[in-house]
Parts: sequence; C-alpha cells; structure tokens
Amino acid sequence: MEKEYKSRSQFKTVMMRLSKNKMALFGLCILCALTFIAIFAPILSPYSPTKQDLVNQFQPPSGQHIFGTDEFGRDVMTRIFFGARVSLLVGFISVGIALLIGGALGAIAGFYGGHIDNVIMRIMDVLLAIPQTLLAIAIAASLGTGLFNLMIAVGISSVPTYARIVRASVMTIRGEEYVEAATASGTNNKKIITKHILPNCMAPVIVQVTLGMAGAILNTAGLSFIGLGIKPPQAEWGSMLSAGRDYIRTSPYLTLIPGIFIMITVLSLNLLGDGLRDALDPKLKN
Amino acid sequence: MAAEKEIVINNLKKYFKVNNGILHAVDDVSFYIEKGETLGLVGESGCGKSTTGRTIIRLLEADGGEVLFNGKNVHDFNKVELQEFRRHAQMVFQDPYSSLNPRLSISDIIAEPLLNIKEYRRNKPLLDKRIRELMDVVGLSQRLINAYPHELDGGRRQRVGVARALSVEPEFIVLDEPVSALDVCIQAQIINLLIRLQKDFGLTYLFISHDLSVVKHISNRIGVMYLGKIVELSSYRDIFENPLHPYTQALLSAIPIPKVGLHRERIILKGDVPSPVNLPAGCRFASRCPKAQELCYSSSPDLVEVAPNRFVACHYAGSVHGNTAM
Repeated sequence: MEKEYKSRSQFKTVMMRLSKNKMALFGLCILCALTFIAIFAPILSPYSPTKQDLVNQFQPPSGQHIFGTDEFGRDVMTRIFFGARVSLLVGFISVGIALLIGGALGAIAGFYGGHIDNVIMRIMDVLLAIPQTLLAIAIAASLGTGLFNLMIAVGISSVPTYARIVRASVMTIRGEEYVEAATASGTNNKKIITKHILPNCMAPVIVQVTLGMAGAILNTAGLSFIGLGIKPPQAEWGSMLSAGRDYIRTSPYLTLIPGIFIMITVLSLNLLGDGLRDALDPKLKN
Repeated sequence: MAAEKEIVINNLKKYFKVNNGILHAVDDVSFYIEKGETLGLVGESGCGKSTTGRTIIRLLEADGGEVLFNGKNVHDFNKVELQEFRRHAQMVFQDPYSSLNPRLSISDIIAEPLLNIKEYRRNKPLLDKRIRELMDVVGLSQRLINAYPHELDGGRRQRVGVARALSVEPEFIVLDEPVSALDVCIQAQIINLLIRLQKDFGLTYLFISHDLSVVKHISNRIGVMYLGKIVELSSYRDIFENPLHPYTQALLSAIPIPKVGLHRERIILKGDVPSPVNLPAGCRFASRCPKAQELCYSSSPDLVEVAPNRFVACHYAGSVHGNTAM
C-alpha cells in the first residue's frame, strides 16, 4: 500500500528491522551466495557438468576436485553449481505455485465458510488422500517431461498443505473485531482479505514455505529418479543425491555433498523466513 | 429535543442456529431513536444488546422485522445503498485491543472508512488533512500518526476507534460498550469525549452497556433488555426514579451508593437466566421475578405504553408501581 501521508514507508521499515537481525542477514547472505554460484556456474568451474571422464571416476575430494568426482568421473562441485540452477528454481517456483493456488483457495474457504468451504476443502481432502509423491508423478506423467511441467507437478501436489494452513489461520482472524470494524467501514471482502486477514496469518505460512522448499527439491529428485523430471546428464541436487546412494559405502561424499547443499538452502531460507516474520510484525518493533 | 425519528426498529428478530436448537438472541424488539438523542441499551451479558446493535447497522442480517433509517429499511438495501448507508451509520467497538488491526498504523486505521470514498482515495493530501483533523477532534497527538495500536494505551486506542467511526461524518453511531474495557478514569474521559462530539456534530447514539451508572451519564432514554426482549423503555429519569419493571428495579438496587449508614432494600434475583435456546412459555423473567403471578408463567407480556413515552413489558406493571428500589 503506497500512501503519501506516511512519513516512513512500510518497505523501508521492514528492511531496516530485517537488517538488525543478524541471523536473518546470515540467511540472506547464504541465499545470495547460492544464487551467485547458480548464475556464474560456468565461470566458477573449469570442468563440464556433463562430460564423462571415466579415468577419474570416484576420486575422493582433493585439490583438483574439491568435492571429488562421481561414477562417471564428472566433477561434483561443477555439478553442484550447475544443479543449483535447477534446484533453486524448482524450489522457489513450485512453492510459489503451491502458495499462490493453495493460499487463495484456503483464504476463500476460510473466509466465506459454508458450502464454498465444504467444496474446496473436500477437493483438498481428496488430493491429500493421495501420497504427495504419487500425486506429483501422476501430474508430471500427464503433463509430460520438462522443467516447467516438473515445477507445476511438484507445486500442485503440495497445494492442499497450503490451503489447509491458510484456511485455519484465516478462520481465526475472520472472527476478530477489526475485521468486523472493516465491514462496518464499508470495506469490501476482497480488500478485507488482502489488507486485514492475510497479513495477520503470515507467520505459519512463512514457516511452511521455508520447510516446503526442501520438500520440493527432494520431490523433484524423486521425479527425476523415475525419469519424469530432469533428464540424466543434467545436474540437479536431488538426482545427484539419489544417484550417489548406490555408492554410499565407498564414496559417501557423493550423497553427503548434495545433501549438505539442500540443507544449507533450507537453513538459510528458515533463518530469513524467521527474520522476515519478525520484521513484518509491528508488535516486535525495537 | 427534536422529535424526528432517525431510527425506527420494528419487530427485529435475530436467531442463531446452535447445536441444540435455535438461540433467540433478539426476539421481536421494537423501539425508535430520535435524531440527536442517545438511547442507552442495558442488560446483562448475553441478553442480546450487542446483537441488536450489530443487526441495526447490518453487520448481521436480521431474521425478521425491519430497521428504518430515515424511513428506509436498512435490510432491503442493495450493495450500493449499503455502501452509502455505511457513511451514515458507524460503530465503535467494545474492546479497543481487538478492534484495531495490529499491523496497520493509526493513520491507516483512521483512513480505512475514508478509502472507500472516491474523493479521498484519489486525493492523498486531502486524506492526510482529514486524518490529522480527526486526530485533533478526538484528542490524539499528531505525533502518533505513524504509531501502531500496541504502542498506545487503552484510552488512546479507543480514541482511534472513535476517530475511525467519525471519519465519514456519520449521523448515527452504535457504541457497543465503548468504555467497559477501560479503567474508570479513562472511562470518564471517553464518555465526556463522546458527549462533546455529540453536541458538536449532532450525532445520534445507541449506547450499549451493562453498566447502568455509565449509561445514566450519557443517555436521554434507556431501554432495559432481558433475554432478547426489551422489558422497559423510558427516559433516564423515569427509569432511575421510578422503575416499573421488576427486573429494572433489581438492576437499580444493585448499583452501589457510596454513602455511610445508608440502608436500602437490595433485591437479589434468585436462579439463573433461562436458556435463550429453550425459552419459557410465559414471561421470560417469571422464573426469577419476586412478584411473579400465575399469569406470568402462561402468557408473555407485550411492551405497552403505560404513560407517555414509558414502555413496560410486565402484566403487573401497574401493581408494582411505586415499589421503587431506590
């Protein structure tokens, strides 16, 4: 909401308060670093992510190959860098899709209640009854392969989770007196939802988003594993993790390193999410 | 006092479906409010006074009856008319801690009703000017314009609530227990503010409260509610000096009088309020009424005008006359 009578803008206030939170800044830095290596992957690494070098397979981490090499002799660090492109994209976009659709459905169901709520939530229950991976497989299979279809499949399969969380929060906020006051002011329902209800139910959603990102990356790995996601030579953290599984006894770094990167991504998002949640809450102002 | 009736309520009904039946929150209530006057509505918790207020300004849909605002039925309004009506009728809520969105600044909260009006939405400097003007009117320092509700004390928060209600220059305001969540000294400040605003802007109030001594200060006429019905309605002087309904008498006898050595008869009501879901057949107050006769258990008394502008719903209002508790 941009308003001229404000002497300090909301965005500036939030950024100022976020910058005071060291943990959140740390998370933001890691996230920036990950984005940086994803963008500049070809420059940062002298190796090709896909070219096989069978002489050098299963090299443990060394000066030449910092994270070692995999079963085809490809440099793991290079593949991690290139994989960041896919994994981060899939994580952000699929969670974005899930949040957008699930959030809208949940908000509508929670706000209007009654039959609308019943219809939406029963559909969500049907979707929830199907295991998430299975649902993603079904959607990916019907849409065909490809990065974008993969993101849609992973996103839609987690829509019910977001719908439920948003609905529950909206139902609590809907009963608040300030929502009634807004109705008495003549504010329409759309504005009430976006201005009063959604900003007040952000906290659980932010937590779910940061955790959901990891789920999305791993789900993508599952889909790639059965050939519905990323095609084999292309690097992606999840598929690297599952490919390295066969060699976990002899070359544990093949699973360890992609796993650590997924964990770092989730951790940084968690820290940033926590900080963002606090920065957006005016009650915690210092 | 102008005799023009601004709000006329005829046979208003509001029922809620609950698990074990229908809850009669407001059951066939009729009264009117004259332009520029304050009608106090008192009664114990759960008697339907807040529901009445909310139904009058159509925050709740009525299940029967009509609310005439300047001759037009509020519950027949379409979307556009309702939007227009919201500029004329506003509400101040009970709890200033929950009636202000914690994520909006004071200026945003006061601006909310104004942003539904085109000329303010398009003209930000005008909006800004109006917000500052309103803050002056309700006695809020302008340095608080960007503060958030949690930074203010209860009294200031309620001033924000009043400013929000005043912003669209309404004629009629429903005050739903506006002071019961506040400290006593702050209560007086807010009551005085409300009285001043009424004088300055010619406002009409419906003042809902469970506190008779607060209502006494501000009301011209008082309606006493019991279990979804109005049992007595007359000028505040009549109610306080000569209450006719036994329930009103009991209520008044409960007001503490700070006087040493004063002896007076305290009417203690026995038993519980009947459930508003399973209502008794006769008078709703009969089971607790010290003066109940056989007739009271079989037939429900109507609100009748026993003297000019004195309405009582009691079969024996005449005979209980004179048995004042004060």
